[in-house]
Amino acid sequence: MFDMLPSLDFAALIDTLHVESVFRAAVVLILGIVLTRLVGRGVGRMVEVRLSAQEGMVTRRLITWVLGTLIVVTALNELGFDLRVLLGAAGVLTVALGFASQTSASNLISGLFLMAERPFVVGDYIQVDDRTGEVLSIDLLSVKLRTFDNLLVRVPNEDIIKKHIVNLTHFPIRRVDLKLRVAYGSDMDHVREILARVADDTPLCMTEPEPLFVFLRMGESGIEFQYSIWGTRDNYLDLLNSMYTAVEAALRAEGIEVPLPKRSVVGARADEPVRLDTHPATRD
Amino acid sequence: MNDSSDPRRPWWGVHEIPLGETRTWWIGPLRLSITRLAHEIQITRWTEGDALAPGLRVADPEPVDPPASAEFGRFGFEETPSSIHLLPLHADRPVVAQPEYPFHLPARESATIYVSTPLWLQVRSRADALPFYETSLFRPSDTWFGPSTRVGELCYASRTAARLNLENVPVLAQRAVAAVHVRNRSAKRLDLERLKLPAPFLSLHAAGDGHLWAERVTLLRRGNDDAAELELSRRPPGEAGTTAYVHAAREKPTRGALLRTFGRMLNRIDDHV
Repeated sequence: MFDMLPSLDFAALIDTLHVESVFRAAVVLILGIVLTRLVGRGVGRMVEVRLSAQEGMVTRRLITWVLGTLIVVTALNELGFDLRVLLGAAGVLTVALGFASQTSASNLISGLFLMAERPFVVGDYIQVDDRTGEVLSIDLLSVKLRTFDNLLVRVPNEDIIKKHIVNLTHFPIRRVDLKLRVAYGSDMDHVREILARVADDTPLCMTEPEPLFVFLRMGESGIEFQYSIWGTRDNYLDLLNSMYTAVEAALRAEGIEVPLPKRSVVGARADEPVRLDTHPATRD
Repeated sequence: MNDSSDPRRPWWGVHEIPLGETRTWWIGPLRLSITRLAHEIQITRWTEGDALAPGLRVADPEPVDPPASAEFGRFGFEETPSSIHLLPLHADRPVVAQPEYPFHLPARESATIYVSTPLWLQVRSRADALPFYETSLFRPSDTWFGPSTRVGELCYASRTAARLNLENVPVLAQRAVAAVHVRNRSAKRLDLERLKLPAPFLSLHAAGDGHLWAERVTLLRRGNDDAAELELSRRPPGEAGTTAYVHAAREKPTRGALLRTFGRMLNRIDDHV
């Protein structure tokens, strides 16, 4: 019976060693959590000066995840787990998860690209497909917009990366194009003088860059042209509305006709078929 | 009895308004009616004519009929003060003026350019109180000052050309005159197509004839670019005669900072249809 006693000492020894491992793993975990928080806060303060709030948050999260993973792996190592087995299992799991979450992963990577490229920032007004709205947030998976009719639109980052985005507020000033038409026979020099006077009398219309007059075409109903003026991005709508109204009023006041679309229709007798003239085909 | 249409009488300063009465100021194109009630002051503002319209009537008691488009504001008080303080001040953005014809300043030369700048008006209940109302005497047009439509600064257009002779500068109640001494220390000629006057950094001084002047501004160009060092004197130039200090600048400039003050017209490269 006493021959069995040495084996009892060995069991006690194993037990002691196990407790020590658990203790060491716990210390690693506690210190690791404290360290992760400290590093997260420190990096957060450093990046908030140079990066946007959104980018700062993503950076802090990334640091937390990377450090957290390292700490858990170290703690498991201390407990005596064979990490090769874990890594193998993780590999298989990653492949399975990868297949299952292709869309999320694609959005995530697109989100990182968006943050690096910065085609817009929170507060900008952008146009995606037929949606226009203010950017509320740029998250890892999606961009959230508030449309002008106060709806929340969630656009996946993958879509944003693939599609054409128009940032309406990136530059401080923008051009307003007025498409106008006057009747044939109008004095175009006089029309240009009227337009210049209206622009001059509108404070929101910038004197520089100068307004631009561009002849477009001899249209069906009149002479078509474009008058392009510049204003600040904040005044875009006010300028657009006030200029159309003012230009129309000024043209009418000066006796310049602003024609409606016209089409001449020649009627035929009801009891006769409509006559079609045929022309011989042109030969090369 | 004060003559409300005396052109020498300054429109700023302390003005008494009896309870229940209205006083109207005609400062160039601006019409400003202020009515004092027991617990509120009502301000009606509208404009007539263009930016350079002449005329001045101060605290006119004659009743007026504002147009429907007039702006109207009500300001509440525990007890309305028996007098109000009107103060002139420079524009809240830089003012850009351009010479009538292209102007070049040879290397190592200097010249004085006179610029007429639009004014703003503040209404206060006491001299040391914060303003409860502020407006432009005539809203100037916006303009862009910078090398491109992507980079630059939002400014006001002066409406009048920068002049080399003071006689050619319109002296009006609704505008101030600034004398800008440009010193080209660079070895390269300065092509002056547009001049940006840093109006928010300028104070106002009243001359004996009742008109307002900014202190003398010196723009010192050392390099070959469009930037210059800004130096502000304490007083307007001698041409203004004897002057009295009226109001401080809106902002203080950073000492020794370079300002982009000389500009060219934007080229047409951005004007694709």
